[in-house]
Amino acid sequence: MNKRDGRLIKGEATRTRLVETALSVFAEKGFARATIKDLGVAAGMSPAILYHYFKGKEELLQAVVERYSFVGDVRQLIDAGESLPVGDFLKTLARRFYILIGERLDLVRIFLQEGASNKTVAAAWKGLLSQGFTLLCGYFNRQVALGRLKPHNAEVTVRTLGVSIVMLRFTEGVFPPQTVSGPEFIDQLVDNLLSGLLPVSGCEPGQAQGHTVKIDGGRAYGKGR
Amino acid sequence: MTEHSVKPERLHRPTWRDEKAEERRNQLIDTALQVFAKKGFDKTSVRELAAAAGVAQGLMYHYFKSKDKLLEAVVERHSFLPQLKTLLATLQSEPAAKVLKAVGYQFFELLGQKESLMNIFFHETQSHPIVPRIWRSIMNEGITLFQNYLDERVKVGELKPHNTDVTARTLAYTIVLLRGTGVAFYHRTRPEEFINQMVDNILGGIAAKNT
Repeated sequence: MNKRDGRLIKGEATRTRLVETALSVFAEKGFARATIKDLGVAAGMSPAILYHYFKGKEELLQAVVERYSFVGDVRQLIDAGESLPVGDFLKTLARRFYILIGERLDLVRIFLQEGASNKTVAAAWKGLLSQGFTLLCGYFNRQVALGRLKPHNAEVTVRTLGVSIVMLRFTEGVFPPQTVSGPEFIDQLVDNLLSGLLPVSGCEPGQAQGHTVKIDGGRAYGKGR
Repeated sequence: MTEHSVKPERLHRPTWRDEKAEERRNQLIDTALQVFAKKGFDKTSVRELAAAAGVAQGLMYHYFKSKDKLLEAVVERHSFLPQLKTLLATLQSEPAAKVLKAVGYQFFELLGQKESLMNIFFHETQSHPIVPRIWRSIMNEGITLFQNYLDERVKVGELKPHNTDVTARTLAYTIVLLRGTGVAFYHRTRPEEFINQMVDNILGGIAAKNT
């Protein structure tokens, strides 16, 4: 290894250490409240070195989100599972997502704490969600086009599934479901949702309940692609 | 109940002093809510709370034995459970779709007014034992309310038998998180439409086939 390679490797290690430290400092102290000085102290380096790697807190948050993003995993799962029956695929995906969230509770904590109050955090959260949601909406809309699901607003389904699982995992330590484990909860959630979405199901929900929805999800969004 | 069994209570009309005390107590609670939400429950001292409310520290202790008691009072005064209870009770006889949509949306609106309270919970789920304990009790009570309602609909045959804990939580989780992080709604789907469609999707799955 020549001197230059050694330096590059060392630089990469330092950068990684900074990103990992930033994750825990932001989660503990809050993004808005954490200072570059706090981050330096926690990582055991001077603010000057920190500035050498990142322009500021915002860039660090961006790096944290990139490092812990689950969008790549979701994309791989969709690529691998697209041809599976919808129920099997959604259960696999949802259970995997549940595990991914469990491994990223600090990141979720930052988003839940400051997603509404801090613009930078909100933008990062929104960006991550919309990437994941767009991928999944694509999947749902293709299933609709294939006739496996009835036309509906996929954005609603994707968000219901996605945020339920985030909340389930995040609050599991505080108020877990009374009757089922997390993974069982997910299976039943998918089953409940699907029997409402599959074309074989007996009734159109809006009509069955004698209650109309203001927007026709299928027409407005389902065929958008 | 017979007349004899009731011991006539001395009619107690609140005096000026009582009213003042009540007012002061509420003022302390409301200040505490703001300070906890901003600074975090753990990091706030009673001294800071007294300073923020503009009262002596001794007076704080006169009204609340401890910071924990103060947080309990905050939650009691600002919880959404009473409104949720009233809502479900008034709508009991309406069709499930209508009730769930109305309750879902009002729950969403209600949470919008409880931003500070939600902040405390999201911030300190792990750090201080009393915060999760209180959060657990409100959430469990709220979810039980939803669940009792759903169980009732199952009993009368409007919904098919299923695990109502899962349904109640799916609705509550989604609405809490969407409200709590503010930004999660897609700009093309407004909250009310979102909740309507979510209820329709879920009901399509849990409505009895013969309806």
